[in-house]
Amino acid sequence: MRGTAQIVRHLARAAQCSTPHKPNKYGRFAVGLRLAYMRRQMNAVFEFCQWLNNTSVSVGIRESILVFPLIEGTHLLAIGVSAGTIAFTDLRLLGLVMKKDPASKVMGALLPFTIGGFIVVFITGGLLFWSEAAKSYGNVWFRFKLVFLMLAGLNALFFHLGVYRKMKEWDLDLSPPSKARMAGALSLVLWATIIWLGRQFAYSS
Amino acid sequence: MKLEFLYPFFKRCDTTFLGHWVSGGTWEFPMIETIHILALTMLYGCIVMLSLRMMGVLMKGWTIANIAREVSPYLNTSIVIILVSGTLLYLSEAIKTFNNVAFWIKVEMLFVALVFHFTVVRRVSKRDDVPRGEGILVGGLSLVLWLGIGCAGRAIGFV
Repeated sequence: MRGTAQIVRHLARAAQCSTPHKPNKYGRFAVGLRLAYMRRQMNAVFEFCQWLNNTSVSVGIRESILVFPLIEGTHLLAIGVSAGTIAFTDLRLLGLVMKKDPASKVMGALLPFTIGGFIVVFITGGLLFWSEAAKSYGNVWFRFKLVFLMLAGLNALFFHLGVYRKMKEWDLDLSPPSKARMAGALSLVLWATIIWLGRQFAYSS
Repeated sequence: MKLEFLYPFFKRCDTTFLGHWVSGGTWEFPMIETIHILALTMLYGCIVMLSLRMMGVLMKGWTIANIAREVSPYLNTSIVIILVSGTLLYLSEAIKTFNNVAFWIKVEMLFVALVFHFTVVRRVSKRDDVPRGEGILVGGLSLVLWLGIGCAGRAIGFV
């Protein structure tokens, strides 16, 4: 890489260009520099994944006969438990099940198992990612899965910071307010999509 | 555990139109398998709620009969969807599964689980007072059976 002083000098000369629609020869260098910086940032994640891939834990899980299937099987069963209970919480938020029970009671009863299940899911998922970090990095399905996981988290966050605070008002309503119903419906759709993306990811390599 | 006498039946299944339709294209098998997995998730939610209530661990504010009543439409629907999609998946690779140990374990456990569910569990969930020991036994057995079916199903791909 060129020295810092030279880079600064080039950038200064690029900035002096009086025709922005047609950059001077230094302007093109500035664009190239920006691209190289971005590529370096992305490369950092890529290199981290490569490093993860070469750790002994990763190799051990990846090449094992029993450990990988066990971790993956636990991942799937925990998904069944957590996503299954969240489905019922969402159905209550949509006003479709246990209508005569207060929503807070239903959520309070199911939430510990949902959260417990999710903890197991994330631990096993982290181990699975660790064992195949390099393959996961470039995989489109995995990237979309991460995006949708974040969306599901945001949905839960908005719900907890918003309508959930006023739950006492609509606790006994047969049909909860529209924001609660939207949170429930969105949660169902997002988690179903995440499960589908996970399945597609498992079968693609 | 393999039922050898069923081999002609498996061979016949391999030639069906539905089997060829599922295994032929690129999106049919993944779509049906995804439906299978989503129905399985719903089924596990119902089974976990019902079984853990019978064991006295979850949702103690409701009676067993209440939970069973709320859960049953979703339970029955997801069982139907799982059986239909599972049959389609089976038809697409019948002979391949014939020699798969995990497949036989899964199907036999499935048979036991279905019978157990629609007899014992049905009867227990209609009563109002279930002694703790009986609840733990029935709920625990139900959980073990259905979770075992899930494990065996995933193992089909590994064996």
